[in-house]
Amino acid sequence: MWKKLFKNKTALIMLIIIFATTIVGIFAPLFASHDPYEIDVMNKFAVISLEYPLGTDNLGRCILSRMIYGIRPTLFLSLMTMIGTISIGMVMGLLAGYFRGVVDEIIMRIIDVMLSFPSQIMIFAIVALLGVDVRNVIIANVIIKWAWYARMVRTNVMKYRSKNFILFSRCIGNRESFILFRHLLPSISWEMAVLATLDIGWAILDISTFSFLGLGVQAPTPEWGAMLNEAKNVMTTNPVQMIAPGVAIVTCFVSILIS
Amino acid sequence: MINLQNINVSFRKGNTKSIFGKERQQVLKDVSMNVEEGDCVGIIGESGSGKSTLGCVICGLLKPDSGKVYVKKPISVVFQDYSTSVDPRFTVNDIIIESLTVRERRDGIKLNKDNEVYRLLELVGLGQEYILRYPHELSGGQLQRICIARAVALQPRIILFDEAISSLDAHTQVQVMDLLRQIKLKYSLTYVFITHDLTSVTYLCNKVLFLYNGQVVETCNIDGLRTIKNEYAKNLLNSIMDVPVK
Ligand SMILES: Nc1ncnc2c1ncn2[C@@H]1O[C@H](COP(=O)(O)OP(=O)(O)O)[C@@H](O)[C@H]1O
Ligand SMILES: [Mg+2]
Repeated sequence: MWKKLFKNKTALIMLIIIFATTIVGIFAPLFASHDPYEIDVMNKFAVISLEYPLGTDNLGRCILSRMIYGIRPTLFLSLMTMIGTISIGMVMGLLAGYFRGVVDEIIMRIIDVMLSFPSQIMIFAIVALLGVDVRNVIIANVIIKWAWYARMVRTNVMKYRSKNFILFSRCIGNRESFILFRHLLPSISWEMAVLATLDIGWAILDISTFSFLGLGVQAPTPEWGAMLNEAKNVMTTNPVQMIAPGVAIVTCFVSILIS
Repeated sequence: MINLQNINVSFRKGNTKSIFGKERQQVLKDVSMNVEEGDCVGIIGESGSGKSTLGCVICGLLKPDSGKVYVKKPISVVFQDYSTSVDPRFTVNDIIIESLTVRERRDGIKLNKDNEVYRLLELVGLGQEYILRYPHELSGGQLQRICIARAVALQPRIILFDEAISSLDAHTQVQVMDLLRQIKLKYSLTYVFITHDLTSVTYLCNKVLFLYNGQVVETCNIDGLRTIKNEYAKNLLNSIMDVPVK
């Protein structure tokens, strides 16, 4: 797997980008030159300089520092979303695939219903219902997305449970827990991981979208989507302020999709 | 050892999920068989005749719709498709240890697993250098030997072979059959040998059971093959061997 990765130059570069972003986000205080909340109105819309590598925004805050601190909520929130979706999807999928029969029928009907909704609009609806808050954006994302995972887990459970190596374990009377944790889950998690990495890009985009629309992370917390939102207000006078968060979101999204 | 009485098995027809999907395809009809200790019973039939399904019933992997199943435990199995028979994430060592662990738990004993793995690999004619290999690093014949080793590792009374040698090349088939013969003698095992190929049956088995369309059409001893009455079994014999059947 690693060999394959090193042959694929684009994937490798993208992976390095993701990895570097994560590191910078985790150790944000080391990399940021300014306090992301420090307002200096006299110095607003400063152009790119050594002191402010990406200039300052409408309140005179260092854009680079805010970008760096903004990695944290973005990554953290999308990870939360992924953990939520995957665990619910996994449990439901395993239940459906394992017990089949009535349990399977019920879960599958719920999944069908969930999947038939247009997801973005449903997330809006749920956020509107629960109130404007980041937590609710995550909850809404989880509610909408778990069905995808559940369906995939179920399909895979069906596929693997009739594989000969699992039949052999059953035949010789091995424990069900061994079959589940040593055979079935490792087989499935490989494919889950692929889907999850693809999906984390969407989660980042979703959270940024909602922050941009003012439904997620609230100002003045630095978050890329929220920063884009603030920049939008001064778009006509100082369009440069939009570039950094916009480029960052796109880069991150593309990197995750490609790698 | 094995006693099946009037086994019936049916599957739901087709893959379509229809609410009227009550239509069922009868795969095994009224199958009865009896296997004594030390026997090697061959089950012969063309593909789709329900041999694997019968195998599943014997292994306890499938509950029949009706009929009595008595099978002496422990039973072990070797499948035709060696590529899916082992977990691709397991090394040869892990694969054999799985069986050993089950045996430890069953007999309430503690085994020296490393020694056992060496011994079993030697038994199936593989060296120690294979211990840490993954399934994709082995040839078909080697992998099937590993499957045999892990089946034996359980110390079963019965081993079921579901077309276990059919997908090997002719030369390897003979080697593996010799190996199976040795193992059977050494551990006084009972074999059930599912195949569509009569030659291997005559080589290994002392009883033959002909399965046609889910029904047992003929049961006989291996030296009784010439006196077979059933038309289908006769045709099968005539087509495969040059045995004149009256
Ligand atoms: N799980 C299953 N669901 C539905 N039909 C099955 C299933 N397993 C086997 N069958 C059907 O049962 C028949 C016998 O299959 P099988 O026992 O595998 O035959 P053989 O091993 O002799 O080739 C086939 O027609 C097959 O389509
Ligand atoms: Mg078969």
